[in-house]
Amino acid sequence: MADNDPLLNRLIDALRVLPGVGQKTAQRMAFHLLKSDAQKALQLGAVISEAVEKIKHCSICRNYTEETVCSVCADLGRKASQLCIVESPTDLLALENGTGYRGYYFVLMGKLSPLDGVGPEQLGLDRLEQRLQQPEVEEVILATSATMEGEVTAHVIGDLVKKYNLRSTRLAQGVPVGGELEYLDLNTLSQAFDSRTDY
Amino acid sequence: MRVELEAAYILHTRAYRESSLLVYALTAEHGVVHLISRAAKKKHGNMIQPLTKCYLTWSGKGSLLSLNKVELEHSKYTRNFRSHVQCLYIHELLLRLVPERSPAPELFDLYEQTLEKMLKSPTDEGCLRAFELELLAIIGHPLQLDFDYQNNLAVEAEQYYRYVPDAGPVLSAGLNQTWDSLTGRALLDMAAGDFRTENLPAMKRFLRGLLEFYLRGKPVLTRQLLKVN
Repeated sequence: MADNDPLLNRLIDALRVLPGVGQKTAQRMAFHLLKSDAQKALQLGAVISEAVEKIKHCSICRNYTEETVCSVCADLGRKASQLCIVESPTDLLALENGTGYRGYYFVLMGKLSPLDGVGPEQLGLDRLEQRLQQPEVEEVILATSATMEGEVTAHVIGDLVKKYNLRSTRLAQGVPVGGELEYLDLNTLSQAFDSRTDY
Repeated sequence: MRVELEAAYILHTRAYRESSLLVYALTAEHGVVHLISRAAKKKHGNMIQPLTKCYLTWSGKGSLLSLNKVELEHSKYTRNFRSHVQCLYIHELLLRLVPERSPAPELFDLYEQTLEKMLKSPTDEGCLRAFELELLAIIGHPLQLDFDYQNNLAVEAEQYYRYVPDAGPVLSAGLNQTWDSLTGRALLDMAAGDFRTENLPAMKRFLRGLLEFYLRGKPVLTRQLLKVN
């Protein structure tokens, strides 16, 4: 971009913070915003600044919300005996949409990854511990991912759960629905085989 | 440059942009390599995972290498917590101490043997200590443990020593609380590769201090954050 267009350059640089957006895509986006309905571009800008300003973490589960307590935690019709631990808000949405689970959640906003500098503190495990002390909690569902870091995270939380004599469960691993064995990766196949159940 | 189906183990991955992954792998011929796997999940599914021997095909010039193909050999996947933490630990050491693309076939063999032992007996800390010792030797800091280099005398089991990095032990009047202070017995056991002794805690403290020395005083994060081993 020409040096005499500092604002345009700033817009392009700002758009590059989005995942998957490089210089070229950012340029296209910037020109599209300027070329299309100016009102819509202004609206986008206003919504972004309002969202960033107002959306915080839920004081109970750490999910994103603009209230102090998110809509899931505020829903008194849910099963208070079950608490499901997920890594991210997208995992929470996946479980909400894909399962019949209607208990409460705790969102870690990551997983233990020492190489990336993520330890128990960054995942809010101190706040989770407070949650575990509530008398209504009976079962903690460990729904972290089936990666090495996800397993370590599940184990560390599992230890915490045991401290309070609560039941901890972990999502099962196995053959995906519609999956044919010959196309399954070896790790999944061996896990599925090792954790076979009576039929 | 294109490398076809080289034996490797995945050490770490990091999300890169929307659907790509930065993949850090230890390979048989090229040492530690950093690869970009574009559209990682679509192309390779969940095959880019540690603990599994795989064969990687990559290509590219300069520092930007693209991962093209992953084939798995056999699965060592486990849900054992200790094994996972031990793996995170040795992966961190490899990524922080071994320069990228410095070929060392003996490092690959060492990793493979250590992994085998760790998965078989996750409570055996001795294999971690042996790994640390051999890793230091492979990256150019072999430990001279049985000879007092200042006094030109063999190390004696009953004496006390202070260890000087890249030099060796020096006779000392007694033991103190620093990592570099240890008994002759511990030095001789380490030199003989015997990590089953009662000196294991002292060896652990010593190797921890030595590794931090080579990491320029920066702590090993896996130890610090997960408080194990």
